[in-house]
Amino acid sequence: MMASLISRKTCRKSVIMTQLYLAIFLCFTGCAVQNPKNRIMTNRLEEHMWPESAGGKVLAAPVGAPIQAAALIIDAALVHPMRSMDDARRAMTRESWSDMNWENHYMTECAVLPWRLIWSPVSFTSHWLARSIFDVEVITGGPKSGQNLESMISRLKLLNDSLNAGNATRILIDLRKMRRDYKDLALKPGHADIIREFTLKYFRIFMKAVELAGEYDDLTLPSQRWIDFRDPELYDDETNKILSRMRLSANPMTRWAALRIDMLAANTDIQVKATVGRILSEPNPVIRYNALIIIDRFYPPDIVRPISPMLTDLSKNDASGMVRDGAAQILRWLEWSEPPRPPALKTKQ
Amino acid sequence: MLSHPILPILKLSTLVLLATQCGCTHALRENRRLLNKHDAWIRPESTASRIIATPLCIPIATGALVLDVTLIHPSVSIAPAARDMYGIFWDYPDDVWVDLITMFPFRAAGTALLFPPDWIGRSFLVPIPSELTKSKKQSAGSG
Repeated sequence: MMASLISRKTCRKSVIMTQLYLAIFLCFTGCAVQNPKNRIMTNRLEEHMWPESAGGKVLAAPVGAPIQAAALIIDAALVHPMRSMDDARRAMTRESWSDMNWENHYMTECAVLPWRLIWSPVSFTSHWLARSIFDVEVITGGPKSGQNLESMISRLKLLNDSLNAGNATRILIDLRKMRRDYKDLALKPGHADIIREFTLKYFRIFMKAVELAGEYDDLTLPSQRWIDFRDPELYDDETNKILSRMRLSANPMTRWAALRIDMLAANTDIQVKATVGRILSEPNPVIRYNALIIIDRFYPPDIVRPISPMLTDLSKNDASGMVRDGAAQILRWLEWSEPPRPPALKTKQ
Repeated sequence: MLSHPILPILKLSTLVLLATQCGCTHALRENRRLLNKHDAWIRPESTASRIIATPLCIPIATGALVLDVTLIHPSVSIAPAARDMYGIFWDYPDDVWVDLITMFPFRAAGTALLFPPDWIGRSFLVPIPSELTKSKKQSAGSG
């Protein structure tokens, strides 16, 4: 009797241990903690625990490394899953409770209500597990209640102050979240002035953070197109200095980020000619091709027509076949395009 | 184990209900005829009245939905399914009587083979908007 009790106890214990190992294994095989954004405790420890010098780091390693490893385990098994709960709740709400119309379809809503109730826990659990284990981007994270553009502008001021002292990568993460929140907040009407003020401040701080963190890729994301780069007030002295440093960078992707902004900012024929001149002198064929894509997608025929000799030059003499084809394609498009002019433009001319 | 004569019936009805609910035909509003009538009949004005009426209305609405899914929409789908069969196998105005006689067994067999899957698909699985299922005469009349 006693022996069977003990064996049952050990069996149960081993089952629990297996489940624990499985949970930890799942947390680590998934990519959630591989993303620095999801390692809150580890990031904090990295900021505050380790000494600055390399020698100090080596000396601190015997104590620091186990603590860091423990922090990583806590991040994976506890902190990140708990942080994912709110996001999972949002996803569940969006999935099961968003499209209700009790005023006009009361009985339909009554019929669907039990299914919503049954589906909600299933949806929440699956979202929560997926978000805890895998690196799912927080797309559902909307603005908090009470948050508005004014409060975000004051937050930008705080970020600007801490940018000179603090960690640029963390500030960049904050700025990315702000961009997502802005998308929801800016849809409300009657905000034109505040939206402009927010955009100006955001862009200036963003440029600084991007340069300090060295993450220039952020500037070439399609999601950054919410900024109207043609607005001349965007570029204050400091931003212009950053841009000119970027233009002269040895890294082609940094040069591309600057060129892309310049191309999207170009308003007049002279500016367009200047930027296209830079494309011609650019040594990297990938950048030359990407620039042609910008011309193809964003420039109206009127602006492209004056630069067609340059494009002809590219289509004939460029060393890269890809660029030659790209330029020839734009020229063909130009040949065939006779756009109907809106009346507003006609009166301006 | 529980053993009651009603248990198999309950299990079967649950299965039927789940199977029908898993299909998507009722996801289209126009396929929920009875429930739409209920929507028009019962419209509590205030939030309080809606909350009070909910416990009573959930069984009624669920019953209406079940009737819609299991009875009304399948019986309404018989006509479009028959129209499909007519269009595929029988709608040949240029046929002479020899064609009719020689092709009749094949057409009858084809109809018997294709009608059930067509009807089941229309009834439970595929939500097809009504404008696509109208006959030529109906669409000509409405157009």
